[in-house]
Amino acid sequence: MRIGLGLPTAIAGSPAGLTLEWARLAEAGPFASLAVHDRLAFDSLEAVAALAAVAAVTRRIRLASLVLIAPLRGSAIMLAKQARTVATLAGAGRLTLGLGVGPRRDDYEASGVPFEQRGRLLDEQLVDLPPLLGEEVELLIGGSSQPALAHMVRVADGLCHEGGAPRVFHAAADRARIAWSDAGRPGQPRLWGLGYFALGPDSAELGRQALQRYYSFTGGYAMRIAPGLLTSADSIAAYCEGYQEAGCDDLVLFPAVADITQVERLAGALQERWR
Amino acid sequence: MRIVCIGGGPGGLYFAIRAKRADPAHEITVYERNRPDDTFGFGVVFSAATMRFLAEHDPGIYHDLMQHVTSWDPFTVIHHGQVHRVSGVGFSAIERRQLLLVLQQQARELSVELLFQHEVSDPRAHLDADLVVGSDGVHSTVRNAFRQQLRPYIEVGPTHFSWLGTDRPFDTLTFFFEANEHGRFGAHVYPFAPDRATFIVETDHETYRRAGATAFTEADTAAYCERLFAAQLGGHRLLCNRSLWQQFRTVRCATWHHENVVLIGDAAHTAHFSVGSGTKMAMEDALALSQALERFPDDVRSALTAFEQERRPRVRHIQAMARTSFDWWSTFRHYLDWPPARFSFHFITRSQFRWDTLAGRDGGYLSSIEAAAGIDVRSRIIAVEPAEGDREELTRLASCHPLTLTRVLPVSDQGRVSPEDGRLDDYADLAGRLALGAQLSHAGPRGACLPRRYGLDRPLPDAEAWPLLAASAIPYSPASSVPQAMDRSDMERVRNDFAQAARRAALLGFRFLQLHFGHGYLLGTFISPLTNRRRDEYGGDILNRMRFPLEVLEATRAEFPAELAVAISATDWQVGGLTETDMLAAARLLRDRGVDFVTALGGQTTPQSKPPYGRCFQMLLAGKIQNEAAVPAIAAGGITDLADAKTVLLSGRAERCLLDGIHHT
Repeated sequence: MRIGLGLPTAIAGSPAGLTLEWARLAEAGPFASLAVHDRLAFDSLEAVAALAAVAAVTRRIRLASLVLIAPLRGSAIMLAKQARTVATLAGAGRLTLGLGVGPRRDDYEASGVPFEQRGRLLDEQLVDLPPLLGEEVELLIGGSSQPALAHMVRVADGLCHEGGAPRVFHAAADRARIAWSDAGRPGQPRLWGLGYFALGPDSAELGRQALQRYYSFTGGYAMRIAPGLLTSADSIAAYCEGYQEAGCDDLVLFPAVADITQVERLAGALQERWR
Repeated sequence: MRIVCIGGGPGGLYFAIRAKRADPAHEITVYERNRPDDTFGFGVVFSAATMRFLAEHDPGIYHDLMQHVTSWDPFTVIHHGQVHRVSGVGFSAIERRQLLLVLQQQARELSVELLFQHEVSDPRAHLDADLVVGSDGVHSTVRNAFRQQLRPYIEVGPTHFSWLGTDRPFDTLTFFFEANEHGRFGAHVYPFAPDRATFIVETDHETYRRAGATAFTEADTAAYCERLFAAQLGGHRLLCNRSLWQQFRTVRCATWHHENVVLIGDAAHTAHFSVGSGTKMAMEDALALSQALERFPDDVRSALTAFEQERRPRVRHIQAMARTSFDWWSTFRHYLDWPPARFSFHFITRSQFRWDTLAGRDGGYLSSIEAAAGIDVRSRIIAVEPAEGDREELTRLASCHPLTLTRVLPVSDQGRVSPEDGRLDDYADLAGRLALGAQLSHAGPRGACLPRRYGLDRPLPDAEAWPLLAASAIPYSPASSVPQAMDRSDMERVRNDFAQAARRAALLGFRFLQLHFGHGYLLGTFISPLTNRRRDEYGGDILNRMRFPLEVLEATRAEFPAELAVAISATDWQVGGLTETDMLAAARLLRDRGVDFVTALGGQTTPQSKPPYGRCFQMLLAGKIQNEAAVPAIAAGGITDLADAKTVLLSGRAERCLLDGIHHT
């Protein structure tokens, strides 16, 4: 299992220069990928533009959108154009494009796209997208619902899980493998997981608050996700181990605190307890 | 905020408590038509998870309830007098009246206004409140008053049940099954006090009619059931409490809220009582609603939207579980003559339990099931070659399984999915020396595509594609080319291709043959109403839709003397697809034309099908084919290891199973 690092693009109040500094540091560190979340009605950086900038300051590391809210991004042709642009700028088959519908009604309301139509819109985009995308871009579907699994087996290379305890991921991973095999796809689906971390003194509480703000659209989810925040090397190691056992290919740890020291703290924690 | 709760059951009261505790400034009134200590419904069942939920969110109430709660760890299935006990399940029960008294007491202490014997005939009269909560149960007047906005859909179940009580002491959750001259009955018994239990009797429609229960008074029902269950009651009585015969109503609504009105609990959604989740769902709704109000203190509508968004997926999950459990209760008459061990295991695995989930709870029970079944599960597992072919893996699989199927092979060039499909003759050197079966198919509208490592149904470039066939001229996906609707000469050609391939398979030494008539492939397009729009004798009802598949089967059967299976998409996992009645009819037709097995695949009839992927996710379909259509079934879908195979085979749902090659860690 490879470990990736989330970019601080969706933490409210993130300082302007932080993202690129973060990316340069990660490129030099033990991380296999750098990933972005996508939100519209929130104090965050636009995901595709951020990836393009990160592509310019890195050479090795994989770049991933986990995940883009596809129905807010117009036609498949526009989506494919953006993805191929980033893939071309990054070179060396570095792009993983995760697509989903996202759970947030406010993002849809902000963009005037009807929330109730999100499934149908994604259906339509995914009919046209695969031939436009080319073979260089790894395509993931976000989520683990029945429609997400159905989309994954039809068009994608794998799945990006929405995050949660390792046993939750494990159950979803089993369903994904079963779906893959049932559909007659050869091999195995690529399985991406994610988690949230905040390391160092005072970071835990700051991180919890940030997560609650980020997930405030649904109180229940925020309440479940916030206690899952990884705040020590031990909890990170246990989380990694659980995901690895479940057959995760890439686990991306997203920061909950927008501070450059988080990158080194995470690298240190991984080195100390994971490998 | 001024809040009106219509209905003072557990959901309404618990919401009032939570909301008032969060903000004592709320003025909350609960209207209840009954008296404070009316006792309808006897006991309420909570799972261990629900008790944990209460302990975590409400230690005070949890503590008060624990004074009155009866808990038991195992549950008991009594069938033909034989007792099977399964431990490690963990349920608790409380008398409904006690639960209400505890909640009423809490509410009073918080100064919630409780108005009993107060029937609200028109909820609209309360619309001037900031929030109106419809917590008034399955027959909700609030839901009815706003039915145009909430769009409820109520499904009336096929079974009849009567809700009784008994003073016979029971020490566990117990299920009885009995037969008499009228038919078959089951009883769910939930003890909630040392000498009190809820005793629900359930039966099918025919039995209900033959018993004359349509004309029963409460006393007649009690007397009849006392005679029926005399052996189990041991002289104890059955107690009545509005014990009329009813049919279970599953309530669903397009939405649970409209402006400042919201439904919670049974008013919004019900789930068959056999999963024991009604009160739990109502209380979880209450908690989620009060939390949503805390998050949006000045914006009731956003709060209601957030509440519904939070609760809908969880309720959907429980309703799906309840549906499978209810389905079991609707069809258990088919299984009542089974040996008790198999019967109990079939019962226990009707919904969420499988072999591996039970293994950690009661290994002893599972050993007894295995011993009683006396079958060698390993000898009934069929492996399948990986999707893009792999001779080495095929050889390995064949060395450790009694039968291994090839990947799906086309009967002709036109029937290929992709140019990389295999051929029967690729196996010429293996078929004679390994225990192999061949899978034959014609891809129909799913042909002329890129190999599946690129995704499903991605059409080949025009120059490399070939013309496609289907029952009707409907493209498989919006990106697929339009197939030609088959005419008589196409049919003859395809039928001959199958027959010829079958002859070749027999000649090469294959011991088994499976014809693939599912997944939107050519023969599958005839069977599903989603893909067959023909107006000739090959379209219309299931007899017509099966006509061509049966012709192919007959021609193939004549050429292949060994075991022959036909795989169908037993459900399309899609609205408007094959019905259960049609699935059973199709299975009987296949049986009558001499198949040895029907394999229960599902979905992929169109790209819109959404299978509920998971462990053993199609085993209930196999079970119906095997037991209701009386043809040996092969289960498929999410059977990933020996434990899954045991779940499927020892519960009598299938004769064989196809092992899913998910090869995980």
